[in-house]
Amino acid sequence: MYKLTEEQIDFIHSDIAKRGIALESLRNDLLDHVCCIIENEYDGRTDFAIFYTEVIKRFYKSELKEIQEETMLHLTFKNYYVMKKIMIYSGAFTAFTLIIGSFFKIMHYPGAGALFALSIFTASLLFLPLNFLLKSREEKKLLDKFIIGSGFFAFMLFSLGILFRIQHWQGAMYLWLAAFVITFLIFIPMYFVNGIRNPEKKTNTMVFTVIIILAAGLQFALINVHPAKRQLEMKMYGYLQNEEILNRLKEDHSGTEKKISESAMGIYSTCEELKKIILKNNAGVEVLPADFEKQNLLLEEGNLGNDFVPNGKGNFAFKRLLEEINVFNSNVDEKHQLPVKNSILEADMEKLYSYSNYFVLNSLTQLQMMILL
Amino acid sequence: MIYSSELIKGTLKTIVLKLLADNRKMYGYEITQRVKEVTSEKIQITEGALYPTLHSLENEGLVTTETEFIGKRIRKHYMLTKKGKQSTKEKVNELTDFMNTLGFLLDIKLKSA
Repeated sequence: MYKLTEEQIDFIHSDIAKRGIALESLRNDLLDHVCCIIENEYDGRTDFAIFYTEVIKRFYKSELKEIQEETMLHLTFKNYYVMKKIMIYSGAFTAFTLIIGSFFKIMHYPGAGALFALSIFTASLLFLPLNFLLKSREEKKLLDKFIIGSGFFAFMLFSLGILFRIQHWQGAMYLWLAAFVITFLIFIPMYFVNGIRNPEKKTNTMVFTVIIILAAGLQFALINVHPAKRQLEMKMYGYLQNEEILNRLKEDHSGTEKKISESAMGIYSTCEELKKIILKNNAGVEVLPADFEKQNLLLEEGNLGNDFVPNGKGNFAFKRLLEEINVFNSNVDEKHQLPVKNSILEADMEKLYSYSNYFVLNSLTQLQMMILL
Repeated sequence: MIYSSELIKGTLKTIVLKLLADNRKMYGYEITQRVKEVTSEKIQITEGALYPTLHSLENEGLVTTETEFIGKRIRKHYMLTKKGKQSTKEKVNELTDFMNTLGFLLDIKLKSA
């Protein structure tokens, strides 16, 4: 049996490391294994380096690193099942919360928004990334992994964009834009060109490409790009003008001796409270700033929403407002009463949530004006 | 005749576990040599398949290692854990059953052909 010298062992050890075996425990295994083979098969007559090269060649097909890659694959295989399980559960959770959220939205139950947010959040940050990790493992070529990655990434950005939009967070438009750019400039061209070359995938590729373009196009058709925004800005100007008049009245008032009764001040602050709730729900801020364009803030036109369903906090505040007005009106002469006819104050409380947010906001501000007049 | 690596791939874990069950502790080179010996060189386990399998078994908690220092190098002896012993029995039973089924299946196919 041949006895290896320390130099020879060092040489083998560093050669194995040089060939890309970074896992220490695997390196030790291979070193011992090579040494055992040499001890048993080397006669000491031929050149050691040549003999070693012949031995190490038995360990691989094209390079030694293959063993490490195979080992890593085996080690991560265990996580594969855990990942797959989490993916399935997160997918089911996404679908479930989305369906329940839609039901809540139709029925105007509180919590629909939170359910949607939870659902999209889970889908974008758990289900889609895990799906990508598992799918990309099935693909051997780096290009295929990249194409799948860009597709999943774009989809992630797209759904996060929707989440940002419904939560009135800043940057929804940028997320969408990024998703569209990645989809149309990277994902679709690469996916199409790559897939159409493969006779097996050709038809599927064409169909799927059309479906993606169709889905993106339909989504795009739903977005009103410019005109609607201008209209919305006009509505916002209108509301801001009302607020400005109110502010000037308030300033004029502070200089005069005219006293406002306590019950009138109560009405005034309840109006203020209601406006804050509406603005928070629809624009994400409590007060609409005059420079809303600079801040990229939009007050979407819509209904009052879930805070105004029966038992919602907005609904309670509104009921309080009606009571306060009743008390106020019963204590003053007819000439000074606050008008109830033909205004939001006649609203059906059961369906308060369905009234237009702009109409209610303007009505509340006008009511405040009347108190100060 | 040397069996193809595809055939060995699916059974390698079971082969390694069974060897460890019969020999208490073994190191990598020893395992390849023992398999060669016992099967009259019909089954030759490559290093490229053996070490990933051993590391995977260790990761699953079926085998554990004991290190021995031989001069400048470290020799790792692999041995079964309690969980590994249980798993060996199950895997050997499964493979035996599979071989019976396979025999039955191929036999029928041969006859019908």
